[in-house]
Amino acid sequence: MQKFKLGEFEEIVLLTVGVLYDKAYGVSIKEEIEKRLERKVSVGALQSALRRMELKGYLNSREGEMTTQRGGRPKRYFTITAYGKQALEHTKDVRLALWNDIPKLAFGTN
Amino acid sequence: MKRFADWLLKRFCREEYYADIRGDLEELHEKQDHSKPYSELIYLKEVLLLFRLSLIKPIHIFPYINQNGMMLKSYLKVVPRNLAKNKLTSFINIFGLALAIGCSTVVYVYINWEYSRDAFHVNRDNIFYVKSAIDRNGKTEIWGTTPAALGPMLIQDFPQIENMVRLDGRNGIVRYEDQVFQQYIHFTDPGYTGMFSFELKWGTKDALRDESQLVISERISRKYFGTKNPIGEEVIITFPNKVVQSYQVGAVFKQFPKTTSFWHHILANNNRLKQVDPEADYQDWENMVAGTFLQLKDPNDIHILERNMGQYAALQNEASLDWPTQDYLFEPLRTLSLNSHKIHSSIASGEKPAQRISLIVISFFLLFLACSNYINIAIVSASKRLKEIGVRKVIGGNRKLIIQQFLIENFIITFFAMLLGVIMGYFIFVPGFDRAFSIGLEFNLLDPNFWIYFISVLFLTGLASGAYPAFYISAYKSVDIFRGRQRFGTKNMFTKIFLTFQFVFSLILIATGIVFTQDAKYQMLKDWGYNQKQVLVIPVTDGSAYNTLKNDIIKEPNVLAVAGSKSHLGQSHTKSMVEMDNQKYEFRCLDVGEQYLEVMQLQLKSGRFFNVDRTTDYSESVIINETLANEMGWDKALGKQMYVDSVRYTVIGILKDFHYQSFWYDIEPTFLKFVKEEEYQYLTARVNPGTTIETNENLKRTWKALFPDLPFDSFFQDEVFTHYFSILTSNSNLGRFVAALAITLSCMGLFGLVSLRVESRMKDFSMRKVLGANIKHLIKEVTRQFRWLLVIGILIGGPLSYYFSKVLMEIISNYHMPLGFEPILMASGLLLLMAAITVSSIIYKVINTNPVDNLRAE
Repeated sequence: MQKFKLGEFEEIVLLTVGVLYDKAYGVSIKEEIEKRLERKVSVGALQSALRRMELKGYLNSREGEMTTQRGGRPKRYFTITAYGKQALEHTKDVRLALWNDIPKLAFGTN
Repeated sequence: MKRFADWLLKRFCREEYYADIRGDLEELHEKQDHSKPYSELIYLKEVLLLFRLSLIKPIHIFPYINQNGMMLKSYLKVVPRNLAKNKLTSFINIFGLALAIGCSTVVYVYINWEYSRDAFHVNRDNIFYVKSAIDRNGKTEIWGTTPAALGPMLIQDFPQIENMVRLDGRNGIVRYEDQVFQQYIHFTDPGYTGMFSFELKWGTKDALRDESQLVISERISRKYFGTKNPIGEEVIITFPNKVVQSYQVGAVFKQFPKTTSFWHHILANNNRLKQVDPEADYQDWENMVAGTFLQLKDPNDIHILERNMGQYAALQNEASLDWPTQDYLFEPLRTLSLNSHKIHSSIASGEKPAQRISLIVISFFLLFLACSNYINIAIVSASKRLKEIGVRKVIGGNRKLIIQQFLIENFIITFFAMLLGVIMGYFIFVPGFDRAFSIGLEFNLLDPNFWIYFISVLFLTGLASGAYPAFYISAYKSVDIFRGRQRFGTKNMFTKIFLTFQFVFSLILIATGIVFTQDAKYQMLKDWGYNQKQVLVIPVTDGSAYNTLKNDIIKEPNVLAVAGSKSHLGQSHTKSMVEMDNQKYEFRCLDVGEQYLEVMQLQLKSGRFFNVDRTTDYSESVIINETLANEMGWDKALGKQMYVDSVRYTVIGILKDFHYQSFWYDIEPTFLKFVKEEEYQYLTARVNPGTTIETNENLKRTWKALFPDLPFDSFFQDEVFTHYFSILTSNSNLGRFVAALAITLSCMGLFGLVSLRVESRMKDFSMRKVLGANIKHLIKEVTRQFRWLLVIGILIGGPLSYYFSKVLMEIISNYHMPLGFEPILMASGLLLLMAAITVSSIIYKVINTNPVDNLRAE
């Protein structure tokens, strides 16, 4: 039984939301990921990941202030929930455990 | 573009996400500093990428089905009840639709047949037919004939070519024991049986590799050998120039598939052609064959060939100076039959697209008639169902549900009509059509195309006939229905428009039917430019046979006159290059002999016929037809000079135009030369009226006595256009059939409509009768609603049908009857008459009912 379902892209998005802390909304997340991972992210992929994780309870969102930019539409800011943090930690632990269990020989230089 | 993208986003995006996604997109878009169209494209791309399951609006498909499962049951119950309640209109609806669908099935089968021609060849996609693009006095013409030397050279130069087959043919007399017939023998490369997928009944596919073997069709096999297996039997072929060859039968084709666009009944190896005709040199670029086919390993490689054909055209032009070849082109076997009409002397048969289009138009008209019947009747008969609709609405059916109900009901009805129509098509219409035009159509119910057709017609007809009534009826308010405030469809503009169009279309179809019928009669009686009646023609092998036969025939008391010729009207001619004033032309050339012009009774416009006693007539005189004189712009053609094969000829006579070919074809510029008896190939005899058959029998006996080894292939001159006239007759039968169908459909519709309306006004009429209305008044009342529509329909339909039949006539024949207005008037009269008869029964009912019966009810 898998406790936390978290895809690779979802994990990156979730982490980025954490990194941006207070300023995590669609465009900023997109740009951050693009900058760090040097890859293109489509609005569609990002939005669907965000919404999915919001439904799963990893993310909370609130509506931001109205601006005159963005065609007068509000920003939606995302924050990680406690459950989301657990999910991240769980993933990290699993990874770490795996790392630690790799025998030295596997990375041998020969 | 951006606005479209926004609109799209709004359509599919979940509402709760829409605002901030849109905001993100806007922000990103503002940051773009590319040129405008490019950035908008990016925007659109982003929007399209947003189309994800988690972001799009949920589609409530399951509740929809659940809710409707129950409703569907109720609809299924209501449909037969409603059909049974009003048997007459149900019959009109279903049967009318079925008739129209039956006709459209014919059209489907025909078009499917045209598009599936040659599909049985396994290598169809890899086979290409070589065409020559030839420059004729500045006009490019596409020909199916190609130099014999081209094929072998291509196969040498291009490794992409897997197989190459040439076809050429000669006439010959084929004899097996005492069976002697004139046949056309095709000479081909031995790869023929490998390239094309004609199945064999007997023998082996490589039969042609053996030069002494023939491959024959099943028909020829039956003709010569009956039912026995003829493999190894020896046949003797005698060619016109006395060359005799003997062959064994090496293989027999099974009956050719009905979709084949070409077939060859007797095939021989083309290495033996040279013995028959020394000029048929297969190295010589001047020698042309009737067709060259290439089979490629990969069909895409055809472009490589296409790019490199110029050099071969140059080779051809060096060898032959007649008309310069510009290029060689390739026609895929897939489209050969469809494009065959664009290729001069194409090896394959195929119809012009006009035929397809007119059939589609006609079947569309019929479907329209049937659908508008349905719509009109549905709207009017809704009055009877208003209470049902009202109740449905009151107990919670919304408009959507009512529309749904009507559409589903309609699909059920259409489905039954469709079944009935296809059954009628399968058993009656398709076989009938096929027999009329002897095409060889096959109606395969398992063909996936058929199901595509079936479903698309079902949906089209179902929607076209059901959509409007459904929306119209569902719009009634239940309160109005129950208070009886609703007036039912009496003032409906749509009904009026549909009725008018029905009259228009019926008028067009009726007028076309009449025009076709009249035209067929007209053409049957049309002058051919000579007297084709009481003329008996006997092909002979040579001049001495002619002479022997002539001396015997002249003794026959019923034979009035005898003539000889090398060419023959409607049968055989040559094309000759003619030079005048340093310009080259190609004209039809007829080589005629003694008495020919007199016996055929060709009409002289000026000048004189050939004279046997003038030796110069043989070597330097020609007679031309009017068309040639007109083409050359000669006012006084007599004495003009022209060069044929560098020999100078002088025009001594001008003939009035005559039809060498059937009326499909224009009269071509033609000239006649005078040839001596040695060259005669036809004996033409004019016989006493009424004795043609008897004389033919006598001559047959004479022939058998003189030439026991040769076939007696006589024919009557008035038979040479038999094929043309049979098509013409079939067309006029088809026209009449469609017209009858159109009348039936529109009268059925009219009857249904008027009877429904009269029924709902029975009380009204009864009151009028009680108050002393006379018959005239009642007729006026009953017909009031459609009288004017009929008139308008005729006013619109008259000119349209004139135009439509004119277009059709021009497609069918170049020498159709002059189109006047009387067919249109006749059609209008017929339509009026039929409408009157249809309505009269209703009027009769109105007049004869006792008003008390209708008024007592309440």
